[in-house]
Amino acid sequence: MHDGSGRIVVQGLTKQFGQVTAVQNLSFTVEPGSVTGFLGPNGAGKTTTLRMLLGLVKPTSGTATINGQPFHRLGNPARVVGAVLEAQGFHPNRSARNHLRVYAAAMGVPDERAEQVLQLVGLDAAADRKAGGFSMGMKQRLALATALLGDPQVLVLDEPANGLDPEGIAWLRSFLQSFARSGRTVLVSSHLLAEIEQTVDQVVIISRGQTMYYGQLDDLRRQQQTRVLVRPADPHALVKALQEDGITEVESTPDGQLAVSGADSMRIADIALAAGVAVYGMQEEQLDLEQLFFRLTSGQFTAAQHNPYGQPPGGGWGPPAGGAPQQAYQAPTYQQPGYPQQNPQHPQQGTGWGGNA
Amino acid sequence: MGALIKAELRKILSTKMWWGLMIPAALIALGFTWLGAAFGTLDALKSELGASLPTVLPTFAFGLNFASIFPAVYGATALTGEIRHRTITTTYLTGSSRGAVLVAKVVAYAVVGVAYGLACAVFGTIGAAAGAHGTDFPGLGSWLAMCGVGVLVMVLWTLLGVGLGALVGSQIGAVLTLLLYTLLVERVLATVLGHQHLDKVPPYLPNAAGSNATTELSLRLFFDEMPGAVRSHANFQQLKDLLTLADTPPWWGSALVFAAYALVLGLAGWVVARERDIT
Ligand SMILES: Nc1ncnc2c1ncn2[C@@H]1O[C@H](COP(=O)(O)OP(=O)(O)OP(=O)(O)O)[C@@H](O)[C@H]1O
Ligand SMILES: [Mg+2]
Repeated sequence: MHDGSGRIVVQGLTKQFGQVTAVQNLSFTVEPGSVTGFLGPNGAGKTTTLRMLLGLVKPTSGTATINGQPFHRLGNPARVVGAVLEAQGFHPNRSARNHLRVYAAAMGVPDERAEQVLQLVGLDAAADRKAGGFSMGMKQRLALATALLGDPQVLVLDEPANGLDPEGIAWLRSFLQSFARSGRTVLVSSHLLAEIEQTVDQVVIISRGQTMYYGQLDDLRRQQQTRVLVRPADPHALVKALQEDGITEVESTPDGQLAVSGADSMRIADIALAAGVAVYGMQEEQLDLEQLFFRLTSGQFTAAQHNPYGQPPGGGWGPPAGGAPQQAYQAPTYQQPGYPQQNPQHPQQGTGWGGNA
Repeated sequence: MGALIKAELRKILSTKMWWGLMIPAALIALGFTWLGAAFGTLDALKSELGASLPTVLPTFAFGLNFASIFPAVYGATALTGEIRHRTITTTYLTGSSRGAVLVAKVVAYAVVGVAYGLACAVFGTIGAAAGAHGTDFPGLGSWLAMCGVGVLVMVLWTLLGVGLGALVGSQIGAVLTLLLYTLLVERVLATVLGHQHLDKVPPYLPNAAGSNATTELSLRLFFDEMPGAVRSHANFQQLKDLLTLADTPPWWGSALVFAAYALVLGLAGWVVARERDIT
């Protein structure tokens, strides 16, 4: 039987769907007592990974365990782990209450538990309506109610905020935090860092099925760095001069600028002057978390580089209960003075969340 | 295990399909026994033979055979319906193993099969009584034997459907396979085999085996209940030939063959379903 630790361990997980490698050699650990974010762009392999963890998809190689055991050896698994994998898993003609009673019976919990979780997610008024007629957000709530039915120690949620209204999102956020604070485990996926930034303590960031970052969100925040975008007359000469001065972290951007890390603009200007390279423009760029996330995961899709809906990054998650922290987060990031001009290839700068790499 | 069976029964009872498909099955049973009873008790026939003919017994068997497609289709939705509505995810997440879930389904759907059998028995009895205007009902033993074999084949057809569904995975695929095979493919196959001088084979094909379990028994009982004057072994063989049942095993043999098909499909379905990725 399982060890009751509440720990999720993923080791060397790989899944091949025919020619498609959905997940490649993925490893991470999720500890109890904290909310772990599982991040990656669309198609990165989040859902596939979570389904392998839950025994629904058979890994090509590698292992995933909950409480030290693979899913199929958990005994009565729903008492250990609850999962929200999709908001569509309902018989359209079965009422919410009957849906919950079916699974209450399967996991051997009393029927009153169905009433409790209905109330918890705020669906008690709709309990006798058919799930097929539910809105997306109501389905998400019912999916969450199903996951909580067995009072599990571990919660696994795949994009649970989809379709939830701001109130629902704020509620979910505080629910997950208090759930984790009671010493239990939460693993929640999203394709938007901003969406779960307020909620998670730890993140696993994947792209194209591979781990790009795995650790404390605070450590990632500390990695936030300044870089300077320079538009020199002769990039090669400037790169050479910078290297001679010991500045080696230089990348060229798609629009022909140089992105220089590890030096401020004054020092770069001095070096350029000494080397006799004309500089037509220079901007300091502060990478925030969202940009870091994008840099970690960029390149999967070029199409992801602009957001056709022009929605601000905080929009996916809606205003939190307290409002203030997220406002503070959005403002400095996307209204940096002069920033939009820097990347003329992406006219949607300042609105799309992904255009900053 | 009991918990999972209870969950499966709740799933079944909380939607309408189980009785939606039971209605046509029961009505078919009723129609066939009505006609059989009415024919066997025709005045002209009675005055010719001096007694009524228990034709209601074989027509009950025919009715059961037609009606059995409904529980089979219902069985085929056991797993495929969950795949279609994506409830399979939660079902697998709340079961100790996929094998346990499948066994629970088999038990719950066997109960449904019994219910289909009983419904057909009740409605078949009503049809038999009404068709003969309340007279000349066959012997109680014979009738109960027919009802019993009816329940048995209904259960087997339901479970065959469950196994086929688990194997095929797609609801449309499983239902179409079932309908096409029973209504078309096996007939063609039997004809082809007949032309190859393999006439001994067709009675062992699934649909024939399932049907013959009821039909062969009904002929035996029919023969037992016939007026003494026309009852002879030669007549029995003639009757079997007439219904192209000359090479069939006795009813219980056909039932065993059919049960073997259901078992093989169930095992194959289990092997496939436990490996199937739920994405
Ligand atoms: N059943 C399947 N057959 C073939 N390929 C699949 C299957 N399921 C997933 N994939 C592929 O595996 C990759 C990872 O998909 P996955 O659904 O795990 O991504 P994701 O990170 O959850 O994306 P999203 O944010 O869009 O939900 C994709 O390229 C996808 O097309
Ligand atoms: Mg996904």
